[in-house]
Amino acid sequence: MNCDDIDNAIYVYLDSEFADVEQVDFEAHVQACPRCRSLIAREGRLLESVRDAAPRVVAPVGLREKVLLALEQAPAPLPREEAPRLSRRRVPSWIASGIGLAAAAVLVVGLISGGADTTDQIAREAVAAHQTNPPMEVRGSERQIRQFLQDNVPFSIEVPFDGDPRVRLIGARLTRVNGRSAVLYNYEVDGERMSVVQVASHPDDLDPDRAPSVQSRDGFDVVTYRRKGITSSIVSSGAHPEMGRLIQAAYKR
Amino acid sequence: MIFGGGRARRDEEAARAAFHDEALPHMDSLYNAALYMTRDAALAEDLVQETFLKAFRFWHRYEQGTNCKAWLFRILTNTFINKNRRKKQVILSMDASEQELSGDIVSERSRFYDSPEKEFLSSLFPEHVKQAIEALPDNFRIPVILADLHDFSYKEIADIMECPVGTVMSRLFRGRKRLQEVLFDYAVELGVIPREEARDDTGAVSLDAYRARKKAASAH
Repeated sequence: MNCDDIDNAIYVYLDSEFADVEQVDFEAHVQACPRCRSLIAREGRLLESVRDAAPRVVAPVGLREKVLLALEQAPAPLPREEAPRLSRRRVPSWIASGIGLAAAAVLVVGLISGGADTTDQIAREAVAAHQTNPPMEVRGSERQIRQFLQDNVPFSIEVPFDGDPRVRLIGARLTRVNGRSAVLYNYEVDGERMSVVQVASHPDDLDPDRAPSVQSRDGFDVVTYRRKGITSSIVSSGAHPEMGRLIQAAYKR
Repeated sequence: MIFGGGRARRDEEAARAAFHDEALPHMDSLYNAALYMTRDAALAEDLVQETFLKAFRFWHRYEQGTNCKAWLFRILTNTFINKNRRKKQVILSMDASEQELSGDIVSERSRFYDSPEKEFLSSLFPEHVKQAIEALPDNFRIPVILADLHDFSYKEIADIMECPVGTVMSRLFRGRKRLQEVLFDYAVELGVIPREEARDDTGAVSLDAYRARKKAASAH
């Protein structure tokens, strides 16, 4: 490490966020360098003085009372998800194989509770789009499709299955779900067509991330998940044994 | 419900009791963070109340035994960002506001690192620190609030803000540097560092002027 490295890593050091090896390197330099030693001392004092000087208050009594009252009137929270709930839901084997039963069960409950409507609409739109199979606005390489979307979609693009060789992106088109801009992707997996609809989350949606969940609609199994505030619904014509794992990978990516 | 009523009521009571024990004790912390985020007492109260109601609604999703405070801060931060975004009616690109701040980081850094004037900042007034933090743009204020006022780790901040740890580190770095600049300017305004001596023609801190002044002061 040289002085520039120290400059860059100084907060990592002061915040005690170093891995052991890095810390040894860091300290080795600092021990031999008076400039960096005094720098660290100064930065440390400054952080501390901000910490000490920043005013802190207690929550007003009125707020505590308001919250308690609102909670009393609030409906009971949903019961915690428990293992036995799994049996109530038929989970297609191709999804169960990758997602895991526990995760699938969590999702179903998640769908029923908050935000069910939007998620439902996206899933419905995905099935409808998959059935009508409208012409794609852009076809070509993944890069070309991505460029087209970046130019035309008002949210940051999260191409699902990005770079996964088993799933081939064919094309995309702009669409709408419930008045909001959305993207329809066309994929090919093992010679079968697969559709994905993506919508940016509504500001009221609580969780930017939601694990994949499955629902049956018009004879299709629709998998819906949310990642980085983008909700994706996936519908496929085929039964792909690998699909569950792929979707799980897309979600965790 | 005839058969299930008793169990459901017991479950509800248990959930409410758990919420009171685990979530409500964080009200002071949440309120403090909300104050620094919203810069307004009434808005902060609304934000905290909304946070608790959302947390209660989604209490079944909270994994017991995990970090409840971080979970609540995540809801608070999310709610704040979403509300703000709606209010402004524009989704500010994170990148755009980052660029606005980045400037020439290197020169800014060398100017700062080499200035002994920073010592003056250790005698800061609470009100100035508050103002300086509040003056930071959202993307930099939130990590500074979480790290410096609430002692969250980088990983926890990344979870709360839903961004990579690297992003937390760079925003924290820039946020703190910006904070120091603002505080330094306050010090000049307050006369702790005389304005005419603080910076030379190029706007850089004039070390010689500072040293001369300090020498003169110690001679008296």
